[in-house]
Amino acid sequence: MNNDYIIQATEVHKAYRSNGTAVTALNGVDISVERGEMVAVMGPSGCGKTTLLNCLSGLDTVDGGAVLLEGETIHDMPDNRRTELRRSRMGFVFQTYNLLPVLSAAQNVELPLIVGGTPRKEANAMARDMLGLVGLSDRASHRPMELSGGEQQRVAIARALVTTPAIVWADEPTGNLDSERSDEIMDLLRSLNKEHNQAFVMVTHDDGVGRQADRIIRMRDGKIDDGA
Amino acid sequence: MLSLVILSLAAVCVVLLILSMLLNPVQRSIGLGNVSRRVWSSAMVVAGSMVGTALIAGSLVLSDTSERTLQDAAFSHLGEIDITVMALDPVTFERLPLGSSMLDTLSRDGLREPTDDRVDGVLGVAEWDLPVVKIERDANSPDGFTPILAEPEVTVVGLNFAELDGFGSDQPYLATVGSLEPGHAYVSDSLAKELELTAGDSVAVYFENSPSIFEVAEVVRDEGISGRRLEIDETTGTVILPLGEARALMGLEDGQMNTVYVSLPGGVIDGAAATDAVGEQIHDLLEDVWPDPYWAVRHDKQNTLEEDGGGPSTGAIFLMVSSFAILAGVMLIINIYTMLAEERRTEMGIMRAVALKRQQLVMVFAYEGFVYSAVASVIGAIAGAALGALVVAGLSEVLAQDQNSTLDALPLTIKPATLVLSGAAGLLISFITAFVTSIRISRLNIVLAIRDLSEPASDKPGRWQLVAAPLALILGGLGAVFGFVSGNGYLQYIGPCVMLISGAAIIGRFVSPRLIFTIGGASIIAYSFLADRLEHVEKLIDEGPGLFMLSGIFMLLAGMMIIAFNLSLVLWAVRISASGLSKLEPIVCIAIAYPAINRARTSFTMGMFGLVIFGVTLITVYGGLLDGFVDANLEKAAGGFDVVIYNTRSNLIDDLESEFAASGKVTMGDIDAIMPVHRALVKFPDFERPLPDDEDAPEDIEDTYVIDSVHGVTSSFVERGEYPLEVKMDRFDSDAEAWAAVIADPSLAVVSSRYDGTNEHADNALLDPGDTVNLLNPETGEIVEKTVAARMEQIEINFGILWGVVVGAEAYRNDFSESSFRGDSPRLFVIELTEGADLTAAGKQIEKALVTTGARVIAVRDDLAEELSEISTFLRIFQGFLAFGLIVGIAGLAVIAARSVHQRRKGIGTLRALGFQPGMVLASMLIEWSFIALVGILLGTGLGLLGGYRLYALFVRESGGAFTVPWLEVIGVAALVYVASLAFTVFPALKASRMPPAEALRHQE
Repeated sequence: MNNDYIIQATEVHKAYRSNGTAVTALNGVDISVERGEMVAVMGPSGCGKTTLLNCLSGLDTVDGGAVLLEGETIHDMPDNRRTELRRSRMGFVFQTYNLLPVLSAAQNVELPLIVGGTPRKEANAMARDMLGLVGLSDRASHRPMELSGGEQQRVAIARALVTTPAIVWADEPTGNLDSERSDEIMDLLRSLNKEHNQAFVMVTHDDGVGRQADRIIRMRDGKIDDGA
Repeated sequence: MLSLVILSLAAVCVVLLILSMLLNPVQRSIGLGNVSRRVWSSAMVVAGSMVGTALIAGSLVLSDTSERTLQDAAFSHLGEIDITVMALDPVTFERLPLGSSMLDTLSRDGLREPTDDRVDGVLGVAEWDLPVVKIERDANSPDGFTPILAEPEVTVVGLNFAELDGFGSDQPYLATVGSLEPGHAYVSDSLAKELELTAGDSVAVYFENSPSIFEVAEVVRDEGISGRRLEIDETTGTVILPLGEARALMGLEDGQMNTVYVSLPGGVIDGAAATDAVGEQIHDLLEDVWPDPYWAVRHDKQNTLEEDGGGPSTGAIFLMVSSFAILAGVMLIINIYTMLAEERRTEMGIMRAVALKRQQLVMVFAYEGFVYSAVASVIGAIAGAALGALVVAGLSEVLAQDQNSTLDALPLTIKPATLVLSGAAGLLISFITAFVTSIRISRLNIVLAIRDLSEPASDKPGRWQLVAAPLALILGGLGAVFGFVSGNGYLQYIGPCVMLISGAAIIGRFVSPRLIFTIGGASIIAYSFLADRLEHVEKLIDEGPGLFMLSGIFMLLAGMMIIAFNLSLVLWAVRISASGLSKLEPIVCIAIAYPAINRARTSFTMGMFGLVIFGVTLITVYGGLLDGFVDANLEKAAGGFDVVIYNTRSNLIDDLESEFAASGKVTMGDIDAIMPVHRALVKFPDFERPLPDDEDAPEDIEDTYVIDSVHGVTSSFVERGEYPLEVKMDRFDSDAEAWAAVIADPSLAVVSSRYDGTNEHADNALLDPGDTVNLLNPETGEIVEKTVAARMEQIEINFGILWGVVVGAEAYRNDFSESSFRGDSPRLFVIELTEGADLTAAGKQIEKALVTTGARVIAVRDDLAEELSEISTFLRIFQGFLAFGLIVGIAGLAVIAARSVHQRRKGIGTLRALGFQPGMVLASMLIEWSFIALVGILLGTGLGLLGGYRLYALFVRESGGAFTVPWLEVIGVAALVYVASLAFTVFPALKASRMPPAEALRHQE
């Protein structure tokens, strides 16, 4: 077991049932991500990129294989423990931002801290600091619907990073943004990645995004496409 | 008329929708596809939409049943008799004999010209309510018979069978039975049941305390003349006698009658239509030709059909009460369709992107809404019929227990036309709501909808707001001005309320909306509470529950306004209180965030609860007020006496004690005192009744005198009775002293509280202690002068014992005996039982002892308890009916909860990704819905209590009753609804908590 790896997955299998038929989403995927590494997962639609991200992050269960986070197996962990790991060691960024529309930007960011038991005042101060880091100090009390797409994604990034996770999972983080905003977000992610030495795993279709990653993993038909 | 409008609108709506669907196959297929695609979701929408229809149908079924009951009563008790004519003594109101000349005037020929030939038949009869006893002949008994069973009040009718054929357009039922032999009688079926009579049995009919014996020739149907009852609620059945024997029995001479029945053309029901006009013509004719007697021309059938003068029918009351629940149903439908649309945003965005215009999108949604509405209206109408049947069964149960009721059960009447009407009304309400909602939601941003991103917030008011608010302000202002100028209570109330709402909407654009809407809402509640003091509003509330119900709805709207605009404040407080509770804080934070942001939906859902709980609480408090009113007045009810006995004209009792002794049926040891009360007619020559603004009002000044009753009471009566005095002459130190002086001094009198200047029929007759008042004996024309010694307090539960003027027995004998209602006999007796005597047993003994006199016996406390129990059962049925409305609230919350889970799947997935454990999701959802239910319940309960206090202030406070709230029941209902709401939301909350996060995040409709 290599302690430099934040995540290690071997022979991961996942299938869904659709109208009585089993559809294979992941078919024996092996993948490892090192601490501080930025990895882009690319491939055509339906190749299993998001499913891989969900299985590695513990959002979804696997049908076979093993997933280890910092050396600890998470694929057979009870749901409560996996949830706790997600809260403490992981951050998430989604294509559609997935901010809670009923909370302000600051409240969205402080939520994972409060869930972890950080006192409200402290959580609020940390959230505001993090919003400052992503350039949104003046938008802290705005609700998501009052922010632009790019601003919402920055809030989502702030929320993902506020707990100083070991790894951030980003599913199409720039998918809903124009190229200018997309570049801004990638610059931000890259700088945060360098600054905090946190691992980033990004699912993307965008070659531009992929090019900014340390490594690109290509997928096809539920497998890693190694070009062979 | 309204029914026609509803049916026409529904028909037009259905035809247009079907035509539109035929012409737009693409939209039709998408709209209908949505229905079949999500069966459970569709079922929930239908369930929510059907509740309003069911309540409307239930109310209309009750209305039909009530109408049918009246028609049945008109058919059986009156049949072909439309009008009855009697000549009464103008002083004693005793029935006078009608001689042959009067009967000529009242003959068919005599009435032909004055009534424009609108009389179909005339029948002179000898009739009287008399005691009838089933007997067995017994030669050893002093009377020659032994009594078996008795009924004190039976309508006895003597008629000439030969004249029956010409009475009415159809042959009367009695004519088909045939004439009677002398010494024989027909008894009606209802009487035969009570007295267990069959043909061949013997009955004794008592008049002036002498029995006349007849053999029962046949038991006949209660129909028409043989169903005739002089007092429909008091009389038990009918006895038909040969005319000659009836005349002999009632002291009428040959050729005399005492009543004339008049039949108008047409059948049993439609014959009543011309009653008013013909009745007036007959009255005018008789007054012209025979001015002396007082002519009583009674429109019996029409009165019966109109439920004694056209008050709101049972069905109308149920409809008014259920208006809260129906409105709650409308709110539920709005919520459901809004949520449905929010869920479909992406899909709708795609539809707009690929081709559909906005109006076509509206069509898709409208088609879908139409299918839901149509299915819901059919199911709702059937469910409503079942609900109505349940309530009718409950009411029948009440009637079965009521010994005074002439009905054993209500005839459940479910007319197909009624179901169609309620279905049409439900369809319209539901579809219009769906249609308006679909117009609103069609205004979406296509790109944002497709990406499932939130619409940006806008501070700009919508076009409708810019137009509607000022328009409503102007209309409200005009309504208020018109209301105050014309004295219209509805406009006096509604106008200012509309002005407050629209004014808040306008000013709230410039100044803090929270402040303005809070002030506006509080002002509406305050105005609703104080509006009762406006003269016309008060009159309307006195006359019927319509305005009271409407003000309840406005108060609820005001409450919703206040809550909606202060929700964030409340939630902020909740959040602050939760901070520091580390485990609970994130849960509460999420739980309160959703209601806070969806202000309209939250206040609508709270309003749904509030409306129905308001109704239930109000009825519960009303029941408590009634109990409190009776409790507060129980000691003083009927002057504190135990039994009241009303003397009848036909068989007078002079000496009650002797009567009891002779019967041998009364335990005399139980009776502490028997006190007679004499009553006579008296006029006040110094005071005039206000005349109506009528050109035809009588010019004879004597007819305008204030008329009242004068009572003669004994010293025993005033010593034992509870008749507190409101004011008395200064020289009296106590009420007892004043009463004793009145008994001893014939120049003194006590007057009732109606002479305090507030009585609208004698508002110039203000009498204070020390005033001198002239009293005119209408029989002798003599005027006697009395000094007012005191004025009595208002008697809340009087049982008709004492009112008007009270003098001592001796003064009564000297001054008023000639105009006495019962000659030298007392009008009534009151009895005080000994300490510890059994009231119920004593009452029954007295009833048995007096049965052949026809005297009405009231055991005061038993009677009150029975009446209270009947009212209370009726209120319970109301509550039961409204409880169905509570389903709106509970089901509504369940539907909203289920849809919320569906709608918030991504949010739930995100929370799970961020570290929310399943239990935290479950708790947060339960807290959220529990909070909504709780605030709605508190709002409804609070305003219900406020409404109850208004009822108390209006009707009970002056009587000295306390404002008693049945807290146990009020809290019980609130708790039950709260628990039921939680129970119904647990399932969707569990579903949310068990949702796999990856699946939730992947969610797309």
